[in-house]
Amino acid sequence: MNGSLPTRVRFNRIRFESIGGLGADSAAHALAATTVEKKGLDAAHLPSGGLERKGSRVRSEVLLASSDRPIRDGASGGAPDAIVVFHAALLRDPRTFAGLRKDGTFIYNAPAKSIPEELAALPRTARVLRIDAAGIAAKEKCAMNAVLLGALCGALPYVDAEAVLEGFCADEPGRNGFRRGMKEPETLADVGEADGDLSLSLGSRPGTGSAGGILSDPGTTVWNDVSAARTGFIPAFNRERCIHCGLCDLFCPDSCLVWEKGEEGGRFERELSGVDYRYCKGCLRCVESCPASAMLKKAETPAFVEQRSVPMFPEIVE
Amino acid sequence: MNKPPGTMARLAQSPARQRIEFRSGDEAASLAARAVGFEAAGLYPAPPSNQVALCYGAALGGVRVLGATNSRGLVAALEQLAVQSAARVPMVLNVAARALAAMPGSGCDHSALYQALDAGWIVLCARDPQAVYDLNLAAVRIGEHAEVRLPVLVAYDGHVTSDEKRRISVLDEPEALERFLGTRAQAPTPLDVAHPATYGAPMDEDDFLDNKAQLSQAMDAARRVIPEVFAELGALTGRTYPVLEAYAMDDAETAVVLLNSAAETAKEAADVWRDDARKVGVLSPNVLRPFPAEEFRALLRHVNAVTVGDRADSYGAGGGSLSMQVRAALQQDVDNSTIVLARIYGLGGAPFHATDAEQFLDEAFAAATAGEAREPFAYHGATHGEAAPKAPKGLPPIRTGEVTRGMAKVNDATGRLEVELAPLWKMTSVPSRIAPGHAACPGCGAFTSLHQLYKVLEGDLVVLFQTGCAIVVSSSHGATAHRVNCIHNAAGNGAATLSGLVEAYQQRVRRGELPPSGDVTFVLVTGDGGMEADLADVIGAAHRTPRMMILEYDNQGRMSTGGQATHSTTLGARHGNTAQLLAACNLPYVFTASEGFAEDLMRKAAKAQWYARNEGMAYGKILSFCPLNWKTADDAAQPALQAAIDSCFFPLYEVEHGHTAITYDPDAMGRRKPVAEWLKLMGKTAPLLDLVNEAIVEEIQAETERRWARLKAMHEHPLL
Repeated sequence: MNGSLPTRVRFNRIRFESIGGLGADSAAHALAATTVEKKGLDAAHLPSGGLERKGSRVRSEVLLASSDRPIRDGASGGAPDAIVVFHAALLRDPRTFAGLRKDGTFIYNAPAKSIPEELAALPRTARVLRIDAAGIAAKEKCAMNAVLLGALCGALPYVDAEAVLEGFCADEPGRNGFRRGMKEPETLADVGEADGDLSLSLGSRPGTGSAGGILSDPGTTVWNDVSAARTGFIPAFNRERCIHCGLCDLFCPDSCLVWEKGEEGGRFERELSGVDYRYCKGCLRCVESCPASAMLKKAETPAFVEQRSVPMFPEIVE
Repeated sequence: MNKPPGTMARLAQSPARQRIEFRSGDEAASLAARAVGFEAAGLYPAPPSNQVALCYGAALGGVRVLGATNSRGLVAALEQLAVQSAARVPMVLNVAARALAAMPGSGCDHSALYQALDAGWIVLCARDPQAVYDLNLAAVRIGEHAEVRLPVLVAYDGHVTSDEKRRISVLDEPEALERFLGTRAQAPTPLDVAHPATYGAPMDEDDFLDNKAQLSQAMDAARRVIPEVFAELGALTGRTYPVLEAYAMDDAETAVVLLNSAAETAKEAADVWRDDARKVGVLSPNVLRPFPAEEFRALLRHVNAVTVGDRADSYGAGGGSLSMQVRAALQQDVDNSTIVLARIYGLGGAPFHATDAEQFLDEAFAAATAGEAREPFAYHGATHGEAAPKAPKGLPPIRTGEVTRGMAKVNDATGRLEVELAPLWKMTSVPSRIAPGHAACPGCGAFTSLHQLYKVLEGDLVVLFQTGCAIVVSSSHGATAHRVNCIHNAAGNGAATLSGLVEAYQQRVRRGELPPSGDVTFVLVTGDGGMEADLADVIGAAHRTPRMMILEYDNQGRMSTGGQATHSTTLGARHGNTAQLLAACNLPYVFTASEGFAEDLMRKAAKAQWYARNEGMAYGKILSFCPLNWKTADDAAQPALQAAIDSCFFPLYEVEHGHTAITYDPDAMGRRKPVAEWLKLMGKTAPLLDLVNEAIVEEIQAETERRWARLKAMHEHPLL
């Protein structure tokens, strides 16, 4: 069986932007595998490289092509026709948009009404779709990747959504999530402001590194923002309940708890003043270890993080 | 019994029945292996130095053997490769080609592959997953050919080919493949007890030279045999593999030469130029040893200029290996006047796009027009010039006084080393030697362990991180989380490297170049996987007992590469115990601990540092949580760690000057649990609780009890 695609040149490229643990790689694989196995088309799946870990950036690409035009360029990072963003925190990173074609499709996962200002970087002519995949997944008790894959398949006329659904979702909740993903995305108008295709490169490097590859400044990861590793929950600190025992500090893998000298003449020589959410990955081991219920698991909202984050290095970072 | 191969001429004209699969190169290799019916496979986990030796042993046994490795395994086995080709024992070794580096990543690079070109193996190059499948079938036949009898390497690109999935056709007709392969010709084997022989005996110089001359003749034979086998492969599969693939070369005036996946990319560029009526083509060898020199001469005869790209540099030689071989081949053709440009590209997995190939064509075209190579050798895509202006400043260095508490002291009355921990809240003022912002998984126990250790380790530290999760997530992408001097070296070299540094330190202190000894503590940080890879060096270091400590975060597997087993992982009742191993090496201090028992851990760490500063090497094995591969929730650390310890699977004890002392006794605390209570808490082991696995769990339980009883006896008896 041979098939064909309305492809611009040789293939269509779809990029999945996600963080480890949300199932972007497996959704991408399902799309590509179904295309090859069920539709007789050619496809490639370019999975995210590097270390296996949760919370890290995942970029998974799928190339779809007609079976008479074999896919030969296996280099990842080409200009995409569609981008699917699994986690709203990734919208803060310009790499998420890189290379989107002016007539491309951009799908992101966020609750209704959320249009982050960063989306202005998109081409004005691109199609922008928002889907509350997290909300739908919670309701349907399915994995979020089913909803987002549904949204993608619904948006691309040349993809056989039923075939992908068949290949990807074995259980009823997954099917329901996928179908809602197909139906429910909202098309947003007047979001992007850029003209033409977006650039693939993110500016040239200012120069070469030091000879020998020595990183000569200690502790430079403090400039990183690792908050995108969180998957919806944060520890909320209640200072009134805290006994400042220091247990949580032993179990925080990310050194993001901020301590200060206790009040002069007060009960405590050292006091916990809060969490620097820039560095918190939401593992909640502080909640697990707290003997005084001063750390509680809370659904994350941008406003809470904004108001309650305590900067750890106010004089150095930002 | 031996069916002679090479009977394809009698086979049907049309290819054998096939089916479509969607597979990566690695998967294609394993599908081919399954189809061939390899009888042995050397697929040792991460420290791969011995996997080729394992294959050699099996191949000597007279079976078809498949090995699979990456750059590190290949280079670690270089000596073994030479032994095996000289011994003329065929096997097939798949190599996912990556860079030679302390931490190469999975990206494609040919530097390790090029190291192996002179090892006397046939080298086939597979450009995509389909070729990986096909060439593995051919490799069996080529290597086993009576006139060849050489091991064969099938090289494909790391990540681009090894991991990326493509549509491939695989044989669906086992009989046709069987006819293609024939049976393995019998060779002398040490399993033939009726004919005792000596294998691999040392040779004197003359014999050695002759042996290598025979190998060279076998390569010449392979030059004849390979096209024959490829023709039969073509009849079997319908896919052709010339030794040198020529794309659009018929009337080409300008060309590029590239290896593997980059050559496929370059075809896209050639098509674009052809659409523009420009006469360009692409050459790429499917066989690198024996080198297709004659084919290069023929195909480049009418080409004005060619750019040869190498994904590895032969530093200082003015080009990579492929460009030099092409130049050498052309030099033998007196009529040839092709201008050759050498370019280094894509090192360490840097992507190579069609636009890069177009630039190669552009440069060749410019050279042809100018009639000379203005820049015969260059790095493509590198940023040259001054070191970049520094990225944002990091954190200030930590002053010795900020991190010194003096918690470990020898009690003058008893002569015993004792630790008085500062209160936990007080230790929150110790600045962390690991900055936040690193990229470990949420909930990672390696960093919790490190954080607890760093709270008690005093003074100035120099740390060496063994290859593994912790160093990758803390020092990648040009930023480092380390606030003390930190070194990383290739896997398996940590203990030796740090021993050398300790030696230099002591010398320089003796010469008065550095302040007096005792201020700096040297710490080797390793995972259980890194520990296993470095065991020979660790034992060597333990013998010399330099003033250093080894602290192992034991998360029960190789977690950065998908959770493969180490000696620490329980496999049924079996698991190794490096704490006992190093205690048997007579170190002054060995301990086990867990980040779940922080105060116990910190007390032992303080002791270990005292010993490392005052007596010699100390070692600690620290059970650390890994939510990723234990398959638990990020915030379910404490129950899992507690159960491992309460079940006595991971008992907490120390061995001080040979005396074993249990520091936490779940029996005495009334907390003893069966191991099943621990196994059920982790997604990775929960299936063991199924009734069908009852015997396995019972076995683990029995072995755990035996070890615990033994430990108790050691605790009670000073001589044990």
